[in-house]
Amino acid sequence: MRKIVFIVLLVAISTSCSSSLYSWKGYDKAMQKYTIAPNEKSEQALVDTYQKLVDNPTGTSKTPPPGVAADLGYLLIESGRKSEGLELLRYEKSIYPESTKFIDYILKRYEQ
Amino acid sequence: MRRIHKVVISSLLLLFSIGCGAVRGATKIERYPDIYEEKPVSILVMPPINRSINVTAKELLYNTITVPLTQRGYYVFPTLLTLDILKEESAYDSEMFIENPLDKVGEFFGADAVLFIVIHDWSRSNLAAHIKVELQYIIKSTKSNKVLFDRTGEFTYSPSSDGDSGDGVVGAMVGILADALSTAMTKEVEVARRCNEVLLRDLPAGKYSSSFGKDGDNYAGKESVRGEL
Repeated sequence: MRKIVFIVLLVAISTSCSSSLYSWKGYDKAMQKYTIAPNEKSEQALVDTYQKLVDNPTGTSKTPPPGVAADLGYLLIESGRKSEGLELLRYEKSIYPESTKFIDYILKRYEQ
Repeated sequence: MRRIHKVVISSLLLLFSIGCGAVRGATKIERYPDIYEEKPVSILVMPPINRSINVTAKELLYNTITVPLTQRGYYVFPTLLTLDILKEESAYDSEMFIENPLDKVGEFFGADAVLFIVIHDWSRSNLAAHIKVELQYIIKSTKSNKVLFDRTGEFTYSPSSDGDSGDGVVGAMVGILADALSTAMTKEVEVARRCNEVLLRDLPAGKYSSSFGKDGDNYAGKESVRGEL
C-alpha cells in the first residue's frame, strides 16, 4: 500500500501544475560533472548535451532554452571552432532579443 | 500500515499546497504587485551568497537554478558566460550588490532583474544522512531597485523518502520512477533541484510562459515555506 501511494505521489509531483516550456534533458547532470571536474571529457559531454538541446528543442516553446545556444557558442569558440561559435551567439540574439546587449558585448571581443 | 498511509497522504497534500499555491491568502498580484507592474523579462542570476559551511552548495544552486527559472517563462543569461564575465569584472561577490543600486549591472547585461540566492543553512546530519537546508531567493529590479520577490524555504531531505528498492513489479516501478526523477544525479543536486522548484513555483509567469499576465488572481503561496523535500 505504501508503495502504491508513493508512486501516486511521484507521478503527481512530476506532472503537477505545468507542462514544460523547454526541454533541458541531461543538463543538470552534465553541468554538475563539468563544474566538479572541468576536463576535456566533461566539457565534451556538456557540448554534446547543449548541441542536442539546440538541435532538438522538444519543449512547448519549440526553441532551445535561454542561454544554451550562447553557452554552446562560447565553449566552441574557446575550443577553436570560432565561426560555428559566433553563429550560435548570433542565434541566441535572434531567438531572445533581450540578450542583445550582453551578446553584442561578447561578439565584439571575438569578432576582432 | 494505516498510519504510514495517513502520513504519506498528508505529505502529499502538503506538497500540493506548497507547490500550487493552494494556501489561501493573498493573490499573486497582491503579493508581487511590482512584478505585474514592471514585467521583467530577463533575469541575471548572481552567484549565491553562501552563509553555510557547505562549500559545494553555492555551485549546486547556481547550476540548477536556470532550469526552473526559464520554465517559469523568464530569459536567464547564459550560465557559463555570465559567471566568467562576472569573475572578470571582479563582480563575483554578490554581497557587494545585494544592498546596493543595481542600475549599473542591469545596464551592463541588459537585465531587468537580478536574482540573489542566500544559503542560510546547508547541513547534513550524520544520523540517517538527513540534509537540512534554509534558502532565501530575492529578485530585485534593476530599474527601480525594488524587491520583486522574496521567499524563504526551510527543508529537510531524507534519502529514505526516495523509496526502498522493494521486490516485484511495484518495487521495480518505484525504482524506475525514482531514477527518472533523480536521473542518477547526486543526492545534493536533487535537493538543490527540489528547493528551486518549490520556491520558484510561486513566481508569477514570465513573458515566454503561456500563463504570462494571466496568473495574477491565483493564490500566492506562503512567503516562507517549510517541509520535507
